[in-house]
Amino acid sequence: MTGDQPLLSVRDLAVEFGRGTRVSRPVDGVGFEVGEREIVGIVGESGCGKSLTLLALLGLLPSGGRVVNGSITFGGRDLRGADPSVLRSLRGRQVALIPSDAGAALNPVARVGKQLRLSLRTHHPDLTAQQRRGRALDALRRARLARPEQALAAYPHELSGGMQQRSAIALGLQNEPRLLLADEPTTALDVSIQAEILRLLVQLRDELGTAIVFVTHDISTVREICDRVVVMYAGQVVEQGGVEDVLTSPRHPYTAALLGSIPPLGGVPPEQLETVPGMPPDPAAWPGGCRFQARCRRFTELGEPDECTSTWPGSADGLALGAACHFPLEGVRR
Amino acid sequence: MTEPLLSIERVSHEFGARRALLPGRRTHLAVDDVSLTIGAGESVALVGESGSGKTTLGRVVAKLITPTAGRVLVDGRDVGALSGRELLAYRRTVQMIFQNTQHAFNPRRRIRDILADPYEIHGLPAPDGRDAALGELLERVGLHASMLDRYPHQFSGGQRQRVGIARALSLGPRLIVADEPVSALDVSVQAQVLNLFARLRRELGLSLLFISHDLRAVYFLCERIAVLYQGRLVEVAPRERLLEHPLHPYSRRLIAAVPGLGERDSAEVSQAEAPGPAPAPGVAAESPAAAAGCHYASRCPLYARLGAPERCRAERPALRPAAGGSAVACHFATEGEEPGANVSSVVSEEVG
Repeated sequence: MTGDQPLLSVRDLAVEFGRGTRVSRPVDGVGFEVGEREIVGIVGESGCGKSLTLLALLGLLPSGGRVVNGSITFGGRDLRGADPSVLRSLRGRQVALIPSDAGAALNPVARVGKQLRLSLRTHHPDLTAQQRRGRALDALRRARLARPEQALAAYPHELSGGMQQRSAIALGLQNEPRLLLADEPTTALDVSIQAEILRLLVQLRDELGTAIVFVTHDISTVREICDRVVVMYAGQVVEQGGVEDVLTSPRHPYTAALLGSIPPLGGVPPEQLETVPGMPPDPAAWPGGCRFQARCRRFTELGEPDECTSTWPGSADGLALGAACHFPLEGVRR
Repeated sequence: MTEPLLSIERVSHEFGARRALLPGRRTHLAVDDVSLTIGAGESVALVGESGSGKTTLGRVVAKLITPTAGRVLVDGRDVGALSGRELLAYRRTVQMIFQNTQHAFNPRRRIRDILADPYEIHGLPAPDGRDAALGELLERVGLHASMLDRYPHQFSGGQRQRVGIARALSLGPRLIVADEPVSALDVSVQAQVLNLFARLRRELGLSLLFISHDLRAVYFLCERIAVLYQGRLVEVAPRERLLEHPLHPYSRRLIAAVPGLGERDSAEVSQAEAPGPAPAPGVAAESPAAAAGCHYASRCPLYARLGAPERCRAERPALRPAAGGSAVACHFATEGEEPGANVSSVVSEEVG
């Protein structure tokens, strides 16, 4: 990243749900930065808080959820304390969300063209109907839909999964946002279509300069498109850094375990894949110290050192590069 | 070679075929003249994109649907002719595991009752009391016998899939048809379930028909890989062979699409390999029934490179044997010229 201020800066973000004795904190001290034109991946298993982090940025937490700590700065503006009307004017215009299941995110009873035009009318009331149609068509073309005119007139169910996802991307892109938040945009898709959508995201960044936050549970897709990666576990950032660094020589035992659980392609397959034993902890009762400790092989190997159970090894704002681990792995090249 | 456990012989399945004579009805040929065998103890993968017919073929094998043409043999006996007692025996031989674990169980029944069903239906007394048998089943798939009284929603996705596997194992099947059993799971949980499959295969000598679009999972678990494209088999090969020397242009494309952890330039390879944005399945592509020739031709980079040979449009390529135990359905695929060579070099680096 350059010396300039990053486009998006998140520090020590915490999100809580529930009241009284049943308070849970599924996001707890998350920090990361996204520079202009940068693609940053957030990886973790279900329940690690990655999607909630994304929704918190947009002020779109599900009901009962609230940001209780930290700061969110976008383009020099504070979003956490921002008025809902300010957030509304940013959403879709400067920051857009691409959902994981486009089929469910699009309105099933409105043609794709109508949905695109509606968003344009909201953000650019001065455009004529003719201009709106032109812009919508352009957006579909940019999302590489094979026959944009037909897609414009189609209802979502008439499109294939890949085309629905492209329509959702067009919807996100047509106002030329500065930041695109993509929540598992390829998990509902086939491998071959997944590869195309990933390539499309990189192309769009190259053409339009849009920065992208890419949330996924599949660490192998991160390698394909991201510049930097943030690994989350139990509501915290356990490791972050450049994609090459983190994926070729992971320092945190959890990152290493995630990578090890991917079946290798080629050679003689191993008898067993590496797995992480046990289950992630409950967000209503996070354990003290390192949250991964109970499942960490390194903790056992090192004779269960006290630090691991007593002190959280990460930085206060969650922003530090490298691994949040008392005993990080050294130079293990995968 | 001894007789295979399962032979699929020229099976086709056309949805809507029975009503095809009514005006305005359209049929869909989901599986188109597929032949495949699985040996005892062998694990074979069916790969392909959605709409390739892999699930339909799996359901045909599990006899959940009757194919509109062709037949399925188990131990040399035609499955289509079975009824009554013999059909029940067949169901004990072949069991199915489903992708969506939330919908695969009745949410209002306890695991105990769900697992007891197969015994009830087949009128089998459990050896030493039913409870002991059910508990043992759960333990075999890595769960605790104490979980018998839980409901499906009280399990995580990975645990529910284990229950699905336990249910399939209860009658001592010889072949399991698993339809995308891990694709809905987190990567780390996927690894646990894949390990379970590998262990059960070793311990019980199970045969497996593993349906997936995830080549990595398939490579880990299956000795042979069958590639389906729009209902037709385009290549069948031993896993190493398919990965290192994919013959069919579509197989190459599938392999290039696997998200890599190897060198970044694998992205370039997939770019070179893919001829622009592909038409979405079922929308732009011609229906296989209408195409007399090779149904992949319109997307095929080899076809384009060879200057659109007439033969690809006129004649349907048959699955023909090739080197190294592969079989490929392509008029022109040879091992000699190989854009796939790049792919395999990237892949082997990643292994090293």
